[in-house]
Amino acid sequence: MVIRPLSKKWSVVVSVMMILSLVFAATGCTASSDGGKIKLRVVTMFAGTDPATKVYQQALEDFKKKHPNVEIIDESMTATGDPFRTKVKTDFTSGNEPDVTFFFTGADAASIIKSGAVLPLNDLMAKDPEWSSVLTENVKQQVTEKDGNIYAFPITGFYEGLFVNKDLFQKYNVELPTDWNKFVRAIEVFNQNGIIPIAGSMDESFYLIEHFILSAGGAHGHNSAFQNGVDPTWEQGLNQLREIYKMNAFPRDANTIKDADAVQLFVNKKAAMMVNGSWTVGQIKDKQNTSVIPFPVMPGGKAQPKDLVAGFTSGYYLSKKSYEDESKKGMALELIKFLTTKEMIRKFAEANGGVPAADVQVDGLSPLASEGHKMVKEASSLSLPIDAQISPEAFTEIRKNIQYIVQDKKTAKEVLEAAFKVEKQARQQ
Amino acid sequence: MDRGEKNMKRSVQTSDKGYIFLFLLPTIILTGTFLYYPFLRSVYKGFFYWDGYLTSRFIGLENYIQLAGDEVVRMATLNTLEIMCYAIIFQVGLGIVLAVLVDSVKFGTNFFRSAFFFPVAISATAIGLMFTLFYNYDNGLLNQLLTKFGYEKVLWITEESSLIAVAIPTIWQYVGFYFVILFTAISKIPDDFYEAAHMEGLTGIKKTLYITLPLIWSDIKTCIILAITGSLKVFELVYIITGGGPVNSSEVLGTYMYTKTFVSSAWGYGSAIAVFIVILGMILSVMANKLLKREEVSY
Repeated sequence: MVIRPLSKKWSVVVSVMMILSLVFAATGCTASSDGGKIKLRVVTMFAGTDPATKVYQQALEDFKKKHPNVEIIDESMTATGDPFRTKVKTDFTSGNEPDVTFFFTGADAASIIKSGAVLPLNDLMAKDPEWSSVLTENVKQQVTEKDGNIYAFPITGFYEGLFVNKDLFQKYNVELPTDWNKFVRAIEVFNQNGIIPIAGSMDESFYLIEHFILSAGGAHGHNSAFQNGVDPTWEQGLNQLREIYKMNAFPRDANTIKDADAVQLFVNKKAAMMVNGSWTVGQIKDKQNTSVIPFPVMPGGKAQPKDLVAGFTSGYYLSKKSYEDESKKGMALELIKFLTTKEMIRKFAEANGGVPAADVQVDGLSPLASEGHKMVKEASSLSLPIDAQISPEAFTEIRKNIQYIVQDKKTAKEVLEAAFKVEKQARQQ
Repeated sequence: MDRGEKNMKRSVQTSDKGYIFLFLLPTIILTGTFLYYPFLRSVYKGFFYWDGYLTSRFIGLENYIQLAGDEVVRMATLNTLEIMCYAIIFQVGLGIVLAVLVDSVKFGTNFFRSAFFFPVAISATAIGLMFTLFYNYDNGLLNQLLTKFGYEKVLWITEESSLIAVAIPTIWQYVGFYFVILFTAISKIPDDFYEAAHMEGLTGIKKTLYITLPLIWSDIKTCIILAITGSLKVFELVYIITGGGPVNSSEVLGTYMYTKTFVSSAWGYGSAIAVFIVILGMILSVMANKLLKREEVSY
């Protein structure tokens, strides 16, 4: 009992310390004890298995050597799956936006741009003609947002198409699927020979949805993006996907397999074809016997034979807060400029096999990657993916219901109308 | 008790309250910040159309109306309840059986205790990955065994089997947890009871039914309530093994909430599902408590 007053004091002290430690723990992450250094927080998708990771990390090292007063906090993470999107969006929502962010354009970036947290780059590009001239006019057009401004400075683009294992086509004496009849014939022949015709996932059916709709509706139909209700060619495309599914064109576990596993079936020559994008080129070991061609036009489809889903859907964003913060001395913009020179774009394109945003000669491309670049150059139209054009909720509504459509549990019309309803709600202000 | 003593008791009580409050304060702050505040925020945001970002529009009860008519929510709720039944019957049931069996062996109790408890210590993600590799159609363990013995490959995860496929690892992982709780409870029963029973001629199964089980009833009840609340939280195994598919056949409320919130960016609707999960959990816990009310035996 004698020591009670003392212990009471102590417990008050301890409690206060605990509360303070909590407060400090919560604010610690934003405190900057820099010792004179300018801190830049950078978030990109060049990490993990991304083939451009090394080039990116070297670029950061070079920048730090050039500007010893800058310290870079690199919070990059791989863009596979949803966590990357969640991280970037959460950073921006909580007012904790990075100084420099490499993120998607289009529907994904709509709210970030609307919030005013990132700067339009047009004026800055006008002030620095050399930097501005890095991008070709086509690319500038593709990354221009609806308000006429460019917010993201791209480095490389992607393309999607029908990847084929040429050696399997030769082995079973089948013609490459350059038109629909040959495509259907190939499915039949591979089925008879115990080869999976198309390595595709119904659960992660992003690229199948895009290509069947593109084949049915052409660029115009594909890009209609629910502007005037549901375009009838979308229903036609998804119905055709169901017909192909019923031909047993996909792996037996197509309804549960993930896209990454489906890619492995193609890479390991267990499947003959795959509808996917240029980011898988790095994983394909046999680059001699693999080819990529435009997805064929279905009977009654409005597409041109060389219509493609391709483009530039990502780039560097500059935080407004960082640019206006005098203590940062415009270093965020400096870093973006450093990472987007013609030379740097060439290095990134060489690493990830993507299409460069600048007019540069990319050396050392594999036969497969060269074919991909050629396909883009010869394309009759380039469309951005559907999920860059409609809200994530509406696209997920379509994607998650593909399994229902192919198994006749729901009609394509029902699913598309439900997705349109979701899109209308998302567009309301 | 004289006056001085009474005063002293009162002063002790008052200062004790101060202590209680002070010692509880850090927990109150932590749970308040990381549990109750987010939950209240979810309740609030459940009335909004919210894309997780800047579009946030009050829509009243629309999310809840959508929830009531959402076929997937209905399926996910039924699946959650089904997993709950499996958890009660198999997790707690097997836990009891194993505890009784291990209690009756003379050697190796510690070995069994560690062996059965081991899966609890492994992360659910690792277990999920392991079972994914078992079930994989193309080169999974089960199909490789079948091919080795000359049988056709089997599609293990189908609409009919997917829920069982995720229930098996869920049960396997937690049996050990309930085993340890019940085994400890059994070992606390004084030997006198068994000696008396032995003298009365009670042996074997009768001893278990009439002596052991009634004496550990309160522990079994705790285990059942833990199994009920635990099955509401099932997420990782479903997310990794089936992703809720095919055609939502193994969807549980947790995975559906995740998909709606983080994949579809429908954060308002996701919040409404979260509120629904909490309400369902509360109803089930209260019901379980009421149903399992039975006079406890003290010894």
